[in-house]
Amino acid sequence: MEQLLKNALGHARADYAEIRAERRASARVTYAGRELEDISCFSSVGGCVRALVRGGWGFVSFNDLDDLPRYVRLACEQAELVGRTKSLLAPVPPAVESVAAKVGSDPREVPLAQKEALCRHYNQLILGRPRVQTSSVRYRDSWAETTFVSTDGACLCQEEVFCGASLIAIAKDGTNVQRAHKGVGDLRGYQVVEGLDAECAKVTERAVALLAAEPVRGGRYTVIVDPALAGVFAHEAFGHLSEADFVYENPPLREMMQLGRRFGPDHLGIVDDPTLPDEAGSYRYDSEGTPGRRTHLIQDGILVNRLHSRETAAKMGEEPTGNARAISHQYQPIVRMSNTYIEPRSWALGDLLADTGQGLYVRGSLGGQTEMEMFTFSAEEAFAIRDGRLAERLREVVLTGNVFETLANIDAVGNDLEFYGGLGGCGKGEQSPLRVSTGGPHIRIRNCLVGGRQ
Amino acid sequence: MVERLLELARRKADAAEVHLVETESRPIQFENNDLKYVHTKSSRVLSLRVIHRGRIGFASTTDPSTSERLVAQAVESAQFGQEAKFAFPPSAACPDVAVYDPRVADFPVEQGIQLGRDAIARVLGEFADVQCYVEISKSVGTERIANTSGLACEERRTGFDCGLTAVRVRDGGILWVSDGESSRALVANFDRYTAKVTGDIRQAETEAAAPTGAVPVLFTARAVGLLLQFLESAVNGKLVQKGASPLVGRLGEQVLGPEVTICDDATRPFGDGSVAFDAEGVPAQRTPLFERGVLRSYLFDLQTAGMLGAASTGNAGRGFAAVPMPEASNFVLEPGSATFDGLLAGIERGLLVDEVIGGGQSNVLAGEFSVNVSLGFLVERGERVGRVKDCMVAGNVFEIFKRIRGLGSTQEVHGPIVAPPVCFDGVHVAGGD
Repeated sequence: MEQLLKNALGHARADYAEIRAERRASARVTYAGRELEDISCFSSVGGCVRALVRGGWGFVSFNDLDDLPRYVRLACEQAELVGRTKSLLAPVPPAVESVAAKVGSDPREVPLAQKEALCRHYNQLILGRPRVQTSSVRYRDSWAETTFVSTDGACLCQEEVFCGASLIAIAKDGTNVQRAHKGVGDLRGYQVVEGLDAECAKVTERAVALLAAEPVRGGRYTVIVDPALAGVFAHEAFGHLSEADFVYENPPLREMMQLGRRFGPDHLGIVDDPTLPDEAGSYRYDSEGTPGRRTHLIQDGILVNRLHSRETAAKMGEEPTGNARAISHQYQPIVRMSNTYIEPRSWALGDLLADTGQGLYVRGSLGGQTEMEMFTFSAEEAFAIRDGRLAERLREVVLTGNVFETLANIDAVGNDLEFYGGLGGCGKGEQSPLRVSTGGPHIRIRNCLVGGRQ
Repeated sequence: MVERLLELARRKADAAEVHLVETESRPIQFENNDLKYVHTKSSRVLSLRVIHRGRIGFASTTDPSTSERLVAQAVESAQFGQEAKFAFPPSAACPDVAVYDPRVADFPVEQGIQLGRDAIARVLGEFADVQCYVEISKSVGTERIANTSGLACEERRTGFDCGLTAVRVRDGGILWVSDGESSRALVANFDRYTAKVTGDIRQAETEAAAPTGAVPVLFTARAVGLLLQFLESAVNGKLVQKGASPLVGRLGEQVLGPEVTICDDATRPFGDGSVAFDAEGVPAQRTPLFERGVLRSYLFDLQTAGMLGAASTGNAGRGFAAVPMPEASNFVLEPGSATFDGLLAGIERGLLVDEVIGGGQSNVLAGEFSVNVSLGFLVERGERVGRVKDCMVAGNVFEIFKRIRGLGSTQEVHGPIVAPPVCFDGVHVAGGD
């Protein structure tokens, strides 16, 4: 395969060109309520050529690998149409390596019948509880082998195996409908989806308990955020702003995201790190063949780096970070996160609660949205904090605000870092879902705006 | 490819259906006022659905050389699959629907680039301090379906998508405005969209405080699309079959105001969702859903219709490499008799809403919406006073569609949604401070 791709690249008339070829295979099982809604397999073969001429990109994607020279020429012609300046790519040593996936238990060796039986079992556990109206249990695995060659001399073969599951319980009482969710998914292997009986019980209990919760009263609170929601906050509210393609050609945003600017207190650190072993967002090389590395985005409260592709790094005069990723051969690499997390510090949760006195404790994320510096997140579950202890359960807790103000208001950081992968992944532009993980310890935010109906 | 796979499947399964989609698209993208890339993307998905011993199996691939494995996978999954409540349909006469525009297929890349450059120049000519993003994408695709009941159909379709977004950063505040079109026919003239975008930027220069409380709110045709999505979910046969839709068991009932007539119409010439047959080969049709507020039908594919003892409405859709599910084609709200200016003039104090964010967070099934208004204006004594920021509108779609002040007389097409502007009474508005 490598030789075939190298030969085809010989047809490139461009400042730079690359070919990615991919084979994929995946299986999925979906239960929705009592019904097995989907059980199926998917396989694909395909590739893409990307060419750079005078600063302009051409890109061609395809399923048939037998006409590669034509695709290479077409990509170069398209780049010719676009290019009007100078091609800029940060140099990286050409990678020549073969990276095999290392999984504990390989999902490809597990029969489909066993995957179905596992989902059915979890589904029955969830549906078996009183007041649970319906459920959703999803299983997904995927295998991918990507071959990458470039005119810089890279020749790379990378394999990955992802496996995960999602458990949802929906409880209902009249018009009051509450849901709870647990997701797992990373590069460790089939064992991550096994042994989730206790998690099924937990999501069910949580959904049912939420029925009796009171809606929160809107206003400003001191909020303790659990590791799951802290990670989503780090990724959604802050992480996307640190993707260089968001700012590099936009002067006002470049100014807003100037390196050296203080974004938080001294104890705040936010990191993106694809080199963590086997997390959902881990990889050795990104889709441009740049090795992934640990990148501090915020260190001691100061913005110190951002995430780059080779092009954005060259255009901003910064180091490439290995964050150019494509979800499949149908797409060009764009700047993406990997495993993004808030660094742990010294607070134990018990001490944090005791120190807080009055406030809110919020756990998990039901989703959210960001528009530039404004964000909105719905917490899955929440409790009042009274006299330093967890008190009544609350629902419909929506955190909202300005990311910069909120980062500055993080006045305590816990010692209990956790990572969350799962099936969801990240969406950007038309590319979704991309496997990523988010993480953090418990954090405390002062003066946080919480939406509520009252 | 299709015939060969069907032959292989016929030998291993009781009944089979082969579905093939091949698409070539060519997006042209401008970012930050400059041409960024030209892409050519071709893709193919070959899917096999079988009914074996009464159950449904499914597998898909991009690689036709793996036909035998595909058959084995589909038959294996049929051991566990849903009980089939339908038979694959024989061939039937399909309506003649305009879905292919040769001007799209022949549209040269250079002309697309020029269209984008001109649009950006026009916006920058009026506002030098904005960043423009333009995407112009054409596609040509073929869908082929064949099954063991003798159906064999094929259709070639074009698609043309264009969008213009302008971003203005001023005093720490950020304004996004956008407009565009998705159609099966060529959009050769961009003036309408540049005019809308520059008009919006100008209108947004004056700011005003949002009104608070239950006030009249005029949704533009585009913003009405958000509300119609709730009704679209509520008539989706899958959600009806699951008992999740609030419209279960209410056929023939007055569920919306008498001004509201909505149909699903796959036969609109060059509509974004138009087809001659759906993703199972069932002929496309126009389905009345609400007539003067009375619920008339749901939208079905074969399996969900079969589960409820109904007939398919020709609304099977397929996600990428996924089993068929019911989905709307073109969702059409019939116009009323008011002019847009007339609707605006009737508002003593209220809000004009043109664009929102945060659509997915609320309880969609119950019709509850609570969204942030990203482009909206305070209206006083029938006039736009200024742009409101940090403002939420909230309500229940089923309730506000019973409190209609007026429907506009002119429909706009926004992709698969066709609607006039609508003014509602008593929509809850909350300011940000």
